Amino acid sequence: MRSVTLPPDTPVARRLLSAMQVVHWRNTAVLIVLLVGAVLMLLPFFWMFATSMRPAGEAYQLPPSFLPDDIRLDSYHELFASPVPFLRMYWNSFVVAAVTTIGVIITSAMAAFAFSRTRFPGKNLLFASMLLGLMVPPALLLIPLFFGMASVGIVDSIWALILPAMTNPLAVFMMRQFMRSQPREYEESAFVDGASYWTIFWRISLPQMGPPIAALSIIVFTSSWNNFLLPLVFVRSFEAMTLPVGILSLESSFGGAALSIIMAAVTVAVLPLFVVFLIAQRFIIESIASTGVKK
Amino acid sequence: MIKNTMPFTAALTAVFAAVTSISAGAALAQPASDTEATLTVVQWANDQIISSTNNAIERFAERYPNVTIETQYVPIGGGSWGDYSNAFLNSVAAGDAPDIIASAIEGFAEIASTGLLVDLETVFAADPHAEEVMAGIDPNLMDGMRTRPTGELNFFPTEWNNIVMFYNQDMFDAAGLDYPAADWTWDDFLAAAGALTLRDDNGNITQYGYIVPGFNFGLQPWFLTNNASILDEDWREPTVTTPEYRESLQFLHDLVHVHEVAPTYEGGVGSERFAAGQVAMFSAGHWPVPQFIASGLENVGVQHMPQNRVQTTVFGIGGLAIVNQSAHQDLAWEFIKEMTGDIYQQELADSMRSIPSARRQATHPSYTAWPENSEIFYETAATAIPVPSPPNFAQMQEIFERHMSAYMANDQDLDTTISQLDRELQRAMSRAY
Amino acid sequence: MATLKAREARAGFLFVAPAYVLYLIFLAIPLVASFGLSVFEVDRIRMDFEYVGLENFDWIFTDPRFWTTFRNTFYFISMSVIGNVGLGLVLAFALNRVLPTPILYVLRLSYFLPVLVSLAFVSFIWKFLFSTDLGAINYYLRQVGIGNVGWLTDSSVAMFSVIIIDVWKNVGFFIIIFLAALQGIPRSLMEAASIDGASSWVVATRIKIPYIAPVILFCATYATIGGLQVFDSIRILTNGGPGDATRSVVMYMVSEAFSAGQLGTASAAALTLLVVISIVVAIQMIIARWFLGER
Repeated sequence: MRSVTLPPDTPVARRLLSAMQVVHWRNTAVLIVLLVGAVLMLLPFFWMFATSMRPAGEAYQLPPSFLPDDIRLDSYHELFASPVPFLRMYWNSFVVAAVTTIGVIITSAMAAFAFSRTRFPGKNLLFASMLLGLMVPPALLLIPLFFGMASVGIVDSIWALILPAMTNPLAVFMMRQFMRSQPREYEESAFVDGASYWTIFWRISLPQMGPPIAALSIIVFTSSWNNFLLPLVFVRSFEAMTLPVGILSLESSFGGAALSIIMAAVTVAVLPLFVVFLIAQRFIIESIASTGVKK
Repeated sequence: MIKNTMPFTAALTAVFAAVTSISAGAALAQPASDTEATLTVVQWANDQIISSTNNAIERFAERYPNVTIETQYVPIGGGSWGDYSNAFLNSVAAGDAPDIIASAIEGFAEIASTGLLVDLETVFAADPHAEEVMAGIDPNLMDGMRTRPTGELNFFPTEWNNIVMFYNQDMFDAAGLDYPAADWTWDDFLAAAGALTLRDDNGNITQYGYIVPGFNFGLQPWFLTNNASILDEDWREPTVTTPEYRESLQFLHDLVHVHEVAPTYEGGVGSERFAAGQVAMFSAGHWPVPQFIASGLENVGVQHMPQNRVQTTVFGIGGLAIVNQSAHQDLAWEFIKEMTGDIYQQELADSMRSIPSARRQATHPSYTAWPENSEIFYETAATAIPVPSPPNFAQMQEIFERHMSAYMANDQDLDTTISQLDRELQRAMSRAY
Repeated sequence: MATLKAREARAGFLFVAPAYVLYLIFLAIPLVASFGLSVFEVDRIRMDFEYVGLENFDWIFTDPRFWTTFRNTFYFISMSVIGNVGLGLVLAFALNRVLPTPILYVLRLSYFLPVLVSLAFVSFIWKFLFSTDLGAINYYLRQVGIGNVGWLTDSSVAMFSVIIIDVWKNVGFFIIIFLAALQGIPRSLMEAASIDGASSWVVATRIKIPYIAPVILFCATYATIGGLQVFDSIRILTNGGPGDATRSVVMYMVSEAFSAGQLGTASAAALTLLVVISIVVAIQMIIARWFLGER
């Protein structure tokens, strides 16, 4: 890269310049393609954000405009003034996603420990039967689940969203694959020293599982955060409603009208995930890099 | 084919008179004000319903401080009444039935066909509130409240909607057209739509005359004004093989493909396209009005749907029902009073969303102030025809919308569309009752 | 030793228990219940079960629409696997290079952001972008003289549009998995290759891809299973239309169960689907074993 006329003495500029010099010419070509791709990926989000800053009547104007004309927060005010308890649903979404994630991690780590570090009769059969669960379309289970959960009175509560989602054969599979790739010497010597299985799991095995835990956390959290089917069928009260279905309550009976408010709601809903991923992406990628997915 | 609904109505009224006189003694006594109970109310979700319900709960708490009202809301984006009814049926099947359920007419028959709803006329006989509400509503609308085929009054009216034609007055002015007259015809409409469709120098259309409604309710007037309908007037047999039905389908298709005065058929109402100035006319009920006001739209008029054979339109009405498994039917009725009285009707009118079922609020100058000619909204109450809503409404709607979209996308021709529609509807309707 | 073995087996069972009990209650039992329904005609309000034998299966097998939805589903799967896994792999290679950190962060975030958003939210945006006469994309296509494409209204294009949105939504997930896999390639392997002076194309095709082949197969299987279950995204975008052009087999099943109220028929369709999924996955496993065994 030849020099760009930047004031070379400012530290920011110097760092930028040295960063630019790393870029090989072929990388530059790839970089341009990647940047164009990135803009295309982000266009819907630009439109979402711009629409949230516009009166609804201008939302669908052509030519489309992907940037806000000015900062107009009316939709955000209306969103929080609306009788639809947006913050409550936001909190529900968070609690459901967090509890589901923790539940999946703990139960699948324990199962992975059992499947990879212990021998018991029927082990392979149990494991194989759980893998079968990977193939079951969730939509197929809704009706029996509804009846079962209603009979114990947990329909229309956040547990109706958490418990079915805590059943995650993929997590058990990924954790087990990872544990099989790890040496078992530590566990064995701890066992010889007379440690209990729980101590071995808690002190030795679980700390090793950081990478798949990180990878699964993001998979489970985002899929719970975005889950549409479970709240659609199992929840009717705002006390337990989560965002993906709850946001549709902002729509009037026949659709479309309150678009800028919906876009404001989506913007607010996406923002925290956006920030978390921006900060944590390196950790996430490195963690996934060392999971057993590749084995 | 829809003709006159009067004989049907007359028969029903006779039945009701008989029923009410027999069961008058069964009317519920007003419960004591210190009653302790919990009532569950299921409604569809929109901001007007939620805030008005919150207000009703506050008023109710003054009369019955020890009664807790639990509210449940089901979003029905896209008008999927099937999902809504289904949510209710599942909860009943699972032994988790609410005390009160709201529904629009699309769900009346399906919900009531299970025999789970109280016939309200046995509940409120001689109740002055009920008499006042029923006197304040157009008799034709009130007939629409009655569940077919039983004729029971399971739902008590809150709001209703119809379909009228919205038009952009500025675009009419620019094209040098007169605003549509009340008795305009399909031909008048087509001529106007043609004149309102504008192209740029490259031949690309920049403004469409009309947008074909992409939803079941919105399409109904195009059949009804041509004396056609998807089902016969008892909602039992499909009537899609009539020449009138065929003509209506062809007309809608030609608007897009022959006359090119309407954009490609897609799902949705089209109100946002109208607001964006991309179409000069579209069809809807009153519900887009608050959003139009909020986005500063001016110079909009409404007119009756154009007619080909009869001047009419469709209507759908909504109300609240009491579930007969409820242990507190008396309290449920008291709460329904809060949800159907003057205060509720006024809040509904103020929200501008649906049309209040009460004539007084719906014809008040503040409600009819905008758009121009808004008086027609309640005027249609006397002649509008209820949207065909058999007990298998969701299935019927699915069949209709699937073939409609295939036909409008030129995937199948008119003959195939009609014969397929007829075949599938025959089979579906044979299991409906 | 017998007691030790018994102790180990007991521990194994206890550690598997939480995950497996959840699995039984929220997946296996509802699944079996759902299958049980397939030979009944059910009236769910009166809880009335009428045994009808194989009538439900007969009904769906003779319904041409059922097979149409199967064809659609397989088209969706083949395209979405190619799109998600193929494009994901290419983009992962492109992103796996030395670039200035801030640029890299922004790029990764751009590609990953759609994964974090529920399709229920962004369907509003895509419907506007894809609208035929009043949409953003066709507006630009008309400007450059290409003319309208019936993205969601032309039955030969609609499924392709759904796949575009599916790839937009999910490719970030696969990019991250592949990035992680690429970064997990041992440095020694790469250094050996660069000493030999191998071109980057050779390095990619002879070293990197074979090394991460298991990950690619995992992703392909994962995407296939996801594709077989595709439901809410299509439901939200096109509701199966125009006609049946984008209707998936799960949508058919759900509409039988919910709109038509035929729980037995829906269960028969579900059982058929599960058998097909199992066959497809088994074939993939055999191919995978053969492919990996060869190395």
